[in-house]
Amino acid sequence: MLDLKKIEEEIDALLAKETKESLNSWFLAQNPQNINSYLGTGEFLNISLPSISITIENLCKDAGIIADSEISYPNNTKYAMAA
Amino acid sequence: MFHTQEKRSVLLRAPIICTKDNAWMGMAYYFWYDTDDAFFWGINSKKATGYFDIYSASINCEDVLDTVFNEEHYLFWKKQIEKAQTSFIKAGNVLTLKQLNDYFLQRGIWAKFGGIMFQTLASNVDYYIVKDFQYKKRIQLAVYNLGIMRLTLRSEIKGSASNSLITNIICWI
Repeated sequence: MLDLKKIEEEIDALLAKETKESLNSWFLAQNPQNINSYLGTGEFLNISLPSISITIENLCKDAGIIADSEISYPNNTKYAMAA
Repeated sequence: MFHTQEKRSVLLRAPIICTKDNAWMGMAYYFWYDTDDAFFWGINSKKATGYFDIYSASINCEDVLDTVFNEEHYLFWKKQIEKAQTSFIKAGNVLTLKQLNDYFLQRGIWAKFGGIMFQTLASNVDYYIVKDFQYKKRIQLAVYNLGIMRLTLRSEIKGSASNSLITNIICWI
């Protein structure tokens, strides 16, 4: 005869004993394909990066590939043209 | 109850445990309540060897959690599944039904049951008395403890001529 009341008490005790870490640990162990099992359970960090502006001519000039005077723009615009 | 498997060169002396990710009740030996479902499963999902066998088993359901016909058992099961899922959600994970049942199995809770009887939705159109209305329950039993069934291979019955895929209906009694 099943004693559901007793089993429920055991379940309640089990869940009360679990922590976020123990539940996550169990979950990750069940999912070897889960991306978290490779990366681990971490936290997101807000990393502030300085904004930068990139243009073709700046890249070329900085790399010493071409001088600004050597760049010609169709119709005298600096807009990118579709190929 | 009925256990459907691909036909093999030898008869099975015991059911085969299901470990698939989509096994509703977790890692268990699965049985169909109704022969119609056992046949449907064989035709649609047990095609690897071209034929399938259906094993009939005598199972003692005294220690089975019966979520299909027993209201108290159903409400108990529903409540525990919801409690566990809520705990996992708070920890940042949403579990599948299989994972929830595996959790209880691995924590030794479901081991107190010989198995769990449960109902799923059938895709068998024969279950539609009118379109989209399934008048028949599709019932399965997930057996966790083989001790609740008798595994003496007693008899072998040739399958129905109306379905050429079925080779045998075998009884564990």
